[in-house]
Amino acid sequence: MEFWSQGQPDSGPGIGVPAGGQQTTGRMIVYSELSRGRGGSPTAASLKKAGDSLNNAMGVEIAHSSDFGEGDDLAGALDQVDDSTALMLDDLGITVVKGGREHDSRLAVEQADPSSPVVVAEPDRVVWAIGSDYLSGYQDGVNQLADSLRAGGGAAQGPIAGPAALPGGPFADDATFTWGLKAVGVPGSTNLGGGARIAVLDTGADLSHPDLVGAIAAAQSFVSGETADDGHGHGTHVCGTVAGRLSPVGVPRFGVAPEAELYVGKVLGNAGSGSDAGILAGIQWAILNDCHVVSMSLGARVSPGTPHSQIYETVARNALALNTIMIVAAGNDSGRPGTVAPIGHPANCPTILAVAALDSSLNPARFSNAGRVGEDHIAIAAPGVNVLSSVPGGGHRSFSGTSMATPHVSGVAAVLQSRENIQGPELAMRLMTAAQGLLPPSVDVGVGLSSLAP
Amino acid sequence: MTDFGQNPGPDFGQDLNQDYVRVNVMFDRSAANVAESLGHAGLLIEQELDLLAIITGRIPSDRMAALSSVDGVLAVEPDRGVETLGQGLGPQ
Repeated sequence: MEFWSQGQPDSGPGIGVPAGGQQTTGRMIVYSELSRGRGGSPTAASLKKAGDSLNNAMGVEIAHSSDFGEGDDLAGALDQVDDSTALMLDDLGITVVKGGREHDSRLAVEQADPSSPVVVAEPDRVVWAIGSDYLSGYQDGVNQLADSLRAGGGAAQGPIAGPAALPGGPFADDATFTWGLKAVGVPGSTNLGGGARIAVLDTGADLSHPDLVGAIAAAQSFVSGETADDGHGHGTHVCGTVAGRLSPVGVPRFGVAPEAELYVGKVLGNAGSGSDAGILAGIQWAILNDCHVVSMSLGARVSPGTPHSQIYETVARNALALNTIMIVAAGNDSGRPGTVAPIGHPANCPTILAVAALDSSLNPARFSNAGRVGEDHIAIAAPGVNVLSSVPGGGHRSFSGTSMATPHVSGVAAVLQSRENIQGPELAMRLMTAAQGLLPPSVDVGVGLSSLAP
Repeated sequence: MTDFGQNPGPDFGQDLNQDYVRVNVMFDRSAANVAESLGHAGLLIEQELDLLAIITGRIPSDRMAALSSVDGVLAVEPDRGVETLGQGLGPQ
């Protein structure tokens, strides 16, 4: 489903190249606050209410994406959007209407009316067909929409919500779950990530840790002179957050997807460092093992204005085409509020999902790096402060970093993969549509908090 | 495919007597004999990652620029150091 693009732009009225040079399709994307149901997500009732409202305002019949079954031509339905028919994308609560003088002027009236439920109406921009550029364009589109909603003052009522509006927030560890697992919605999820293959490229893992031993499907070292056993600690901690066992002894559950299969690739040495060559070899190994996710809690600081790696971007695109998504930590170089550093290498690549870290109040961690408008972007955010997980020798400790946030997202991806049998671009999309909106801007948190909540 | 991590990673040897830099080279899969051509250009090949169409290796720093001119080469980048992004963790 292509929310923002159409391969062949409509030649009807309204098509153009607005200032900024971006081509449009002639359609308009409309968001009505009526589509937001209780809890912030669209419901059948809220979507009907939104559809009826748009019907009254614009004189269009509403077709719903939920009426389309698997194999139905939903993309073709976009072509059928005309003066009398609009298409509502139910999962997002967004409606696609045909542009043109009459509809444009009716939308303008709606947007100018403070009592109107229409929050945002924007031109449908042409981006790219399926692939990594589409993924990047989709991220930009969702982030722009989210920022528009915040700017419109809808933040207090959602779907963007602060910690007080999220169930159980602000968060804390309890006897059953770590705060991070509670924040991403693990308690309410029955799926444990079975069948999902997650490659963790890091310092290896304690291959005999009781909380990991059942999850590790394979391990391989790409570090000269060192085995895959973790002599540092970082990789063991990260692996634990992805797939630590369901019932650890003496500590709350800290693994998002206890039944996921871990592919442990040691690409960083016991001193905690490595280089691109080893990482690239690890990525190849992960793809050859049909891993759904490559999770990398590593990186290098970059100076503002540094372009991203062409090699990593191409690798990420090719991986995506082979149904492997790359989830990478954004970096810890910031000292908020004074200093906000750019996303590090290689997370700054457009096709890589860069992860920001949140504290237990769901604010950006003081060290978490941020995107730059028009250059690179944070994809998503997750708990990254005082995160409890496994350490070598069988124990557990709490640490902080975008390193800790990244495996939360990878674990969520594992559950989504398992639950919905999706992979590649579809899995990446689902990760983002499942996220819960947050108050901070998208340059800090992307689409929001990675989540399994319904 | 995997040894369950019991074997150490590959040993590429040490640089001797010259200012070598490590590089990563992305190439066009459809081009012929790229590895051989890179070798002629001075690259000491360490890895050939066929699935990714990437060759990694070492080369004297003053010959790195010439790699971009080799037929089939799409990109040449210096091998960057990276590190863990967790705070407080350290060697066990």
